Amino acid sequence: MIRWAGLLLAAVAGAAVAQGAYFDARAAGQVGERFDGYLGYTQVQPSPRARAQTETINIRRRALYSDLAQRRGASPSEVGITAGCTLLGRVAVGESYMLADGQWRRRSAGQPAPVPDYCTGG
Amino acid sequence: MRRLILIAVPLGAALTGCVNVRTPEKPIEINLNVAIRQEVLVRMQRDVDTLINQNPEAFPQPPAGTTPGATRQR
Repeated sequence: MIRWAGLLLAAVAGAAVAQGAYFDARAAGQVGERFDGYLGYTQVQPSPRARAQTETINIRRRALYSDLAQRRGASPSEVGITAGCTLLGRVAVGESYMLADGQWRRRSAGQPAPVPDYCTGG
Repeated sequence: MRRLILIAVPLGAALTGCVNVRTPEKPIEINLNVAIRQEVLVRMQRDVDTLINQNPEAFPQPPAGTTPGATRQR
C-alpha cells in the first residue's frame, strides 16, 4: 500500500517535471491550443522532446474526451470543441492559438485570445 | 450508341464499387468543419471545465510565475 502511494507520488512528480519542454515550446509559441481541444504545432517545429510530451498530452485528452462523450451522449469531437472554448480562454500572452479557420495566431498583450462565436457558455 | 452505354455502365459500377476508405494512422487530424450542436455545448461546458481542472496531466498549467500573462485569464 505504501509502496503504491510512493509510486503514485513519483509518477505525479515525474509528470510535472517531464512537461518542461512542452511549457518552453508553448511559451515560445511553437505549440498552441487549437479550437478543437487539442494541441498543435505552428510553423516553427518544437524540439523532439517537446513534441513527444505534446503528443502524450493529446492522447490523454482524446481518452478523456471519448470517455466523457460516451457518458454524456455526445461525440468525442463535440466534447473536444467544447473544451477548446475553455482552453482558448487560457491562452497566455505570447502563446499561439488556432481558431476554426486553421490560422495560427499569437496572443498579444492587452487583449485575450478570441474564442469562436459558438462558444457562448452555459 | 448502345455499345457506348454497355461500356459506360460497367465502368461506372467498377469505379463506384471500389472506393475504399481507410482511416489514416495519423495521430489527430484537424477538421475545419466545426459541426457542434449548440445544445451539446451548453450542456457539456460544466462537465468539460471539471474535466480540465481535474486532469492536470492532460491540461498542464505552467508553474506560477514562469509565463507572463498566464494569470490573465479571460
